[in-house]
Amino acid sequence: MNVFFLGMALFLVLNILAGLWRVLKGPNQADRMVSAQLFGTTGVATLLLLAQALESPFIRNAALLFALLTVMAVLAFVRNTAYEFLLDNKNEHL
Amino acid sequence: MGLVFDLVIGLSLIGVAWSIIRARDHFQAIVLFITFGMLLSLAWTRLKSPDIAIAEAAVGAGLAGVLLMDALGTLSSSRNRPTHGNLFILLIPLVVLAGLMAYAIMFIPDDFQGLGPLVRKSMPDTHLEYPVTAVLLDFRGYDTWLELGVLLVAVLGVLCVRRASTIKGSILPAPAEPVGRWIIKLLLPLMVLIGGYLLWLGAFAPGGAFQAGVVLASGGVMLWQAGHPSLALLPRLWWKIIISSGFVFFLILASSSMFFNDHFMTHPEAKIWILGLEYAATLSIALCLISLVLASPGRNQGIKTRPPKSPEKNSCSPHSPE
Amino acid sequence: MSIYEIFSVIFCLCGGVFFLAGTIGLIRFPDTYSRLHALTKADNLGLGFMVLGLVFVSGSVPEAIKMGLIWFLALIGSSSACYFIGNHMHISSQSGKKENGPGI
Repeated sequence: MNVFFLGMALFLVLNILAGLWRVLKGPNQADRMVSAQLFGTTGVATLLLLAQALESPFIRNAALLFALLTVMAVLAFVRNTAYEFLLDNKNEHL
Repeated sequence: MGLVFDLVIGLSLIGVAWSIIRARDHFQAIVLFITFGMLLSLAWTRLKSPDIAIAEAAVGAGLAGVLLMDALGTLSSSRNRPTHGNLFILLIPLVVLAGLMAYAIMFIPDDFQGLGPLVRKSMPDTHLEYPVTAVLLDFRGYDTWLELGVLLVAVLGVLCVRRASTIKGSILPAPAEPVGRWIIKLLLPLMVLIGGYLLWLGAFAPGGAFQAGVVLASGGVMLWQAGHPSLALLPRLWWKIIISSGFVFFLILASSSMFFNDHFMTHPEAKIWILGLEYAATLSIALCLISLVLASPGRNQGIKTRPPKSPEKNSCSPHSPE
Repeated sequence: MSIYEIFSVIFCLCGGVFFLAGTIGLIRFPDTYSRLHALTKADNLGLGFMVLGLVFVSGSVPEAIKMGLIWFLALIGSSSACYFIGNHMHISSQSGKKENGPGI
């Protein structure tokens, strides 16, 4: 059973690694922030699975903190970026 | 399966670190840094260190991203591509260092059990129940004390760069959309509650002063994002007392042990002093981190510098064609 | 394998399917707004099914309630975050078109 949960956690980590492609490519800065948000939620799921697989119940607190604090990073992004930041190439339009 | 997982995490940490160095601009590096923090939290989980995993989750997912993005907002006019020097010169010292570490790990004797038995043997001397708290606050109290000193110096350094003497005067406009106000109203009490929960938990389970301090700091930063002056409202004397309280409380306890024991700089016996130490450290860490975020000039404020003297004042007239 | 473990496996696999859908959507969708849409499916249903699966094997009621609360918090947080990103993009694209003419 623990092997199954560990396997699911591995699957989610591979999802994170696949999503990194969007961080490297994404034509907008907003795309990169969307990826960061997805990584946050995938991280919550991975930590919950690992808490079960490794029988370490306090890892759920780490998952709680992930879920709580990812919003703050997105709020900071929205506050701190102006229009010229969102584009990679100044000749594009959104 | 565990080995495959560890290999994937290890290699991805190296890969993400490499891509941070080769990032095409600063914002991509910031998002990769947040991802690095999340993967590192998973690595700590696999190493069966829930304390560090919780701390890494708190700092990596939240506060590090906020601080870096605030710093990025200041550089708004210089969206330079980070310069990549000749990175292959770095390989030589890196390979030497990695070789030394591999050599050290391969020659650990087989019957070495780590420091666990030593800690467990000395636990009854402290009056604490949880070994990690005992290590942080008792056996390696110097490290914690100096870490609080480092945070204090960091706050003073940021204030020096900004040429300010307090964190007052940095108020953001309130979020325009109702969802922004609502989410802050919802999350802020939750952060204070979870901060208190982690502090209380630290006595007997993974948690403790640092994790609680970071969550409380996130609460203060959320309050500031709501357009409230947040902890800049604190009177200046109280602000100075609280940011130095962790460092100073350690110093007071260490010096006053001279009067109660035979030696200078020994650890207090009673549990009440250790609890007080942990609470003071939490408040101190929280206020230091909030001050770091509030004192960093964001996009809407510039660093106050003296304007350069312009010799051609006569040619700038309000009726110029531009 | 008890019935609880079978349910747990089924629900976790469903959750994994939704996370995969979210990642594929993130990579393959053509526009930022549609990628936001893909993201919310992973956050909502993916995490929900995972938590449901883990609740069956967690073995204690407080831990199960805690995981349910984590899911709820992630739901609120991620939907607000996606709203912020979408709104910011929309407002910035409108103001950008007004400030910068077509010849930028």
